[in-house]
Amino acid sequence: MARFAIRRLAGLVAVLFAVSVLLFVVFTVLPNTNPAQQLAGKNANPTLVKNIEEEWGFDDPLPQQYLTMMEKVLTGELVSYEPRIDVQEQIVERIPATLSLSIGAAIIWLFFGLLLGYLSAIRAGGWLDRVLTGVSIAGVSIPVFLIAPVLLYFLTYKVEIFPNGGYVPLTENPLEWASHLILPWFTLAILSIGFYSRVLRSNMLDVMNEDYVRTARAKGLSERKVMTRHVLRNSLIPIVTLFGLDFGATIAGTAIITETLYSLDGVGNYAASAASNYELPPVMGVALYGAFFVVFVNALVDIAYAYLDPRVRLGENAG
Amino acid sequence: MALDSPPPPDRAEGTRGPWTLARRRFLRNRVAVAFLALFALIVLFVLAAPLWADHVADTGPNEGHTLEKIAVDGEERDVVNVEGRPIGPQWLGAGGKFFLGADGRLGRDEMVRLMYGGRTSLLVGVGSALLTTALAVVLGLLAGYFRGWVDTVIARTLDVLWSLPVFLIGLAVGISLALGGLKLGPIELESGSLLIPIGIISIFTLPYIARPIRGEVLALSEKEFVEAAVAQGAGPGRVMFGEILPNLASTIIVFFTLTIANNMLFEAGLSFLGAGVQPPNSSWGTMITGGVDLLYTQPLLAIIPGAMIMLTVLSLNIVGDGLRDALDPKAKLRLEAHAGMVEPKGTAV
Repeated sequence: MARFAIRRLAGLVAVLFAVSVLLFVVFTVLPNTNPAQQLAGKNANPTLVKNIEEEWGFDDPLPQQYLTMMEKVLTGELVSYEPRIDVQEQIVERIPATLSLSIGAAIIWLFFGLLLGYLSAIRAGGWLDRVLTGVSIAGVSIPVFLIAPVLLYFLTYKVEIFPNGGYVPLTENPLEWASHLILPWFTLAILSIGFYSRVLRSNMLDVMNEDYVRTARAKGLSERKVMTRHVLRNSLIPIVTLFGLDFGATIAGTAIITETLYSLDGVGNYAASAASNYELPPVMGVALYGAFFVVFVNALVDIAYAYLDPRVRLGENAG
Repeated sequence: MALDSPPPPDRAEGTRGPWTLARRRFLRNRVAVAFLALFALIVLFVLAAPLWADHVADTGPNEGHTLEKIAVDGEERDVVNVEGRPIGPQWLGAGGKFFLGADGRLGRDEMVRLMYGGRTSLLVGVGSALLTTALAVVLGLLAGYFRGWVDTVIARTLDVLWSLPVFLIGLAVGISLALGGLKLGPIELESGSLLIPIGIISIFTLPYIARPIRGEVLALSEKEFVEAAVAQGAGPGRVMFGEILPNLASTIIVFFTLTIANNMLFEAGLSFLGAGVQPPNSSWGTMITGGVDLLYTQPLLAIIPGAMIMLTVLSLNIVGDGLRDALDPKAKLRLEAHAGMVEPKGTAV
């Protein structure tokens, strides 16, 4: 186990390095413009551009430029220009909103996804299964940019049940916190509810054909016990990996769009509004920190999975 | 796993070839056929854009009509009123002009923009799916056939790409290239070029197809027919493209369909945040950005492009599922186009 963890962590370091190089290339090598001009913003004056060019050493050889960029981002020296604002501070300030959104949505999608998947599997082929399968195919096809406008229009404007966007910190007022987050939570969760219920259903149908399930039935266990103790438990193992990967990917993906649609002032919204003004430093900071976070979560998930399922750590291609 | 072991022919199906059997199985799936028809309708809808623009709406997708008035049932109406609010859907009241209303302060015809925007969305979706699939097939064949260090390099690169938050990085690339375009050696692209979003999406969705294809090539290259070809003196090129590739056909068709749906969602997400399709081009994603600003006065401006994306993605998902069932009834292939862009990693096994 320790050997697997060490190997996986070495892999993690390699991936982190690869991501940082990739982002360096994206911001300084690929664009057909002066990178200092890019960082300064759309309508920056020439003096600022000149200053940035010196500050970032864009005349240096590329490896030196790479080191300068990483140093700036990782020591929290990254600022957005005009007005000069510390990027790291802005990101840290918004982490609670992003985590509130993502963790809440994850709890909702796991609960409903697994519940619907379980009901679908134990009634496989019946009408309930068919309805749920149809609902989940529709669920995975509804983009957040359709759900959010519809919910906002009908539930915050036509009928004013929920507040119209924004974020209230949990420590300030828990009730307001929740009422501001209910719509974003469901918007973000609906896709995964449909998807997880399908995955659990097909996992359970596979497990039901296993010999140990027949043995459990032959022992005279009740159908309910067979389903929960044997079938469900074993079907949940692959869900662990899936969930870890999806959680990271959601924070760095759909959550950005959801925050923007609900003007929920989280990290994603910060990057998105910077993006719409073509302000690069915040995008650079969020992309690098976000990528590091997601890669790190993925490594932890792999280690947790290896702990749960010994076949992984003993397998040749593990890691 | 695909066509090398066709199911034993039963009496009803006689001795038809596998493609005929697959077509029959697909046609028997009424839901999939209905959604294929829906997808065809959507394609016709966007292809008809110039016809509608020239003969009905009498305007182009980027033409503003801010200060103009139109006659609706004999009554003059402002396209954009003094408060800057655009006219709502007129349906056929103005002879088809402003069928879905105007899009905002600029007073552009929403219906015309919806049709042209759909062209862009479909073009980026299909174009990037073609590029991803082609790259994935070549990489998968090379890695799975040569093994050794070739496989190590390709498989590790795909692993790294796969473990990244692709949407976030795609967003960073899109924004970085939105200002001045791209210059990489001999390749130079203007900032508004559609090849930028197509390139971004193709590269970041690559692992979702290349990994399963590589796995399948690994399995296929152990088969007797490959051994037989090698014994007859076939070189690597002929074995890969002449022997193994035809056996990947059903996998490729299924993945291609599902990838279009997935990539259209990716494009819509990027464009919604300003990192995809750039003005003056519009896509359904950029139209939603504009529509959300006017959500409480003209809700349809955001909802209709969103609904178009949903219908297209839904139909492609269902057709893809149907194709999989038809081509490979026992298949284990799973790649779901997910409205969360390319999230469901555990599925592309």
